[in-house]
Amino acid sequence: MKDATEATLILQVRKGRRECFRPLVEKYERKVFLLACSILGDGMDAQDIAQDAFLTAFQKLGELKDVSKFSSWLFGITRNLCFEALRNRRLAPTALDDVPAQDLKNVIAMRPDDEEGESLVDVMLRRMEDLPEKYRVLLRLKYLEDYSYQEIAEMTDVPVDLVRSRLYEGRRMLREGVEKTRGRNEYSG
Amino acid sequence: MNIADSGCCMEWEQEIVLYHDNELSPESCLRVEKHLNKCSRCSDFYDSLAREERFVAGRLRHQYAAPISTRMFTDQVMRRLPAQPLSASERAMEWAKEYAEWLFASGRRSVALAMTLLICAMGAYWTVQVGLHVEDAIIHIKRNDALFRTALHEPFFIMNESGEFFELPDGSILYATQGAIFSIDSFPPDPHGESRSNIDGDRRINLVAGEVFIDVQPGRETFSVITTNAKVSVFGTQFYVGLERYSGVTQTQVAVREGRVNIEKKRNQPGALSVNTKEMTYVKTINGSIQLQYPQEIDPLLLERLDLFHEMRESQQAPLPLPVNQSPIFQDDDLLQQIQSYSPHQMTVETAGDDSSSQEDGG
Repeated sequence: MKDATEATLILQVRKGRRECFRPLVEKYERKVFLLACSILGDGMDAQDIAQDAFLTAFQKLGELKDVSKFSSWLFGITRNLCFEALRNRRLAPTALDDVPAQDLKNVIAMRPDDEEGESLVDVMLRRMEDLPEKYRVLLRLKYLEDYSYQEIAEMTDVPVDLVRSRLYEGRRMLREGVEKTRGRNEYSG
Repeated sequence: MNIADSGCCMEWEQEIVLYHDNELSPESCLRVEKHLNKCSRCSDFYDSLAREERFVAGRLRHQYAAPISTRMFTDQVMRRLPAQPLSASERAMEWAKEYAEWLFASGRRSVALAMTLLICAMGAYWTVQVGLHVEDAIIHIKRNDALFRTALHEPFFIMNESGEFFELPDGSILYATQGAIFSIDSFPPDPHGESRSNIDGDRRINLVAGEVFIDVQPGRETFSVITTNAKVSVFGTQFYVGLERYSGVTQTQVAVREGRVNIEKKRNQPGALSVNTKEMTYVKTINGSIQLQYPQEIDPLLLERLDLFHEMRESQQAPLPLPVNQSPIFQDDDLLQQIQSYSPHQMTVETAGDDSSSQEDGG
């Protein structure tokens, strides 16, 4: 969707054509949801937050001064809602078993075959939870959908250079943590 | 212990990570690949990096799987949206401002001032007296043979390649091709359901863009299709209306397969005529003046399409299987032009500015 088309759709929504909001939701739904996942660390709550983000954006559309900045503005709303949710501490840890099987439409299950790979993944995931938030959020976004640095920068409002260095440092820290835990060289043989 | 001890050459480590993340230019990629071909330690580092990331990514995606699909999510959001983003009076003001700008731009200043004040007054009156009721008007139609509940004035965007069929509450059939945008602006009360009538009770389709084929059920109430420059009225007929813009000209084309339609110019410019069976005509807006052409024999290709519509309308099946459309695919220039043509005047489209990376010709 070209920028000009997006701007036109927003202006039409402001004039009362609410159906013009639908293409905008479809365009940004995945990014908003995954951004919320990365900050909250929880899929079910992330979806609620994602819906609230779009509703808030719709209601406050009149306040958006520069329609070309719609996406950054929408991501800002998403981040704020996430931080508010974290502050309220209303999140209960969601075990994977709680998600009804018939609703798991977008599951991409990739399980490593060898046992060494699996336990290594467990260690890395545990280590990721311990990383400072500024590394953790970026790493999650990168792993979840392999977004480019530019996209991650836009979604998190972090400059691209900083995204690059934090992703690099974050991975270093992951591996250092893994090394310490396992106490042997992962990369030999 | 750190990555360097794993054997990867220190100076290449960051580049290899960037290469893995597809963040390098093609030239740099080639450089890294050349090195990976020569250096087994770096190559091992890259392989283990890729493998671990794949496992971790897979686990994370499983952990944060989206509970529902994009389509369901969007449907839920749209259902939860409040009726209008702006209040009725705010919307009336937006339209009033736009109309006033158009008048001023055309140089009719004194008229503009009077019209602006009149429209603001009307907007306020309409809000108080009527606005709340009009917003509630729900009608039941069929869309591609499935029951569909919609509101008056709510626009339909047709994005399926093979178009869509609609059956209106009175039994009239409308077929819209890809790229069409229209709304049902008025319909008589539905005796079976919860719809409420508009003020004058006639049947009115507002065509914003594209083409529609219509088979009108004979009825007491006039059936009309409105475009920016024409009002096409029928009582019971099969006909076609298409709206397009090219080189600054707005053109409404009307063709009749069977029956008769009346066409009037919009915007109080005098002029009307009838178009009969197997005839067609054009209504063109050039430099603000609307021209109504004398009816001519219908174009054979258009007649063929009308005949095809006539055959299909019984089954209401689109000619091709409808594609599954997960994400909207816009032919951007067309849609843009079509939305522009919705306004009573040339609408200025705000573009993204100088940092827009897409090429646009006159957008």
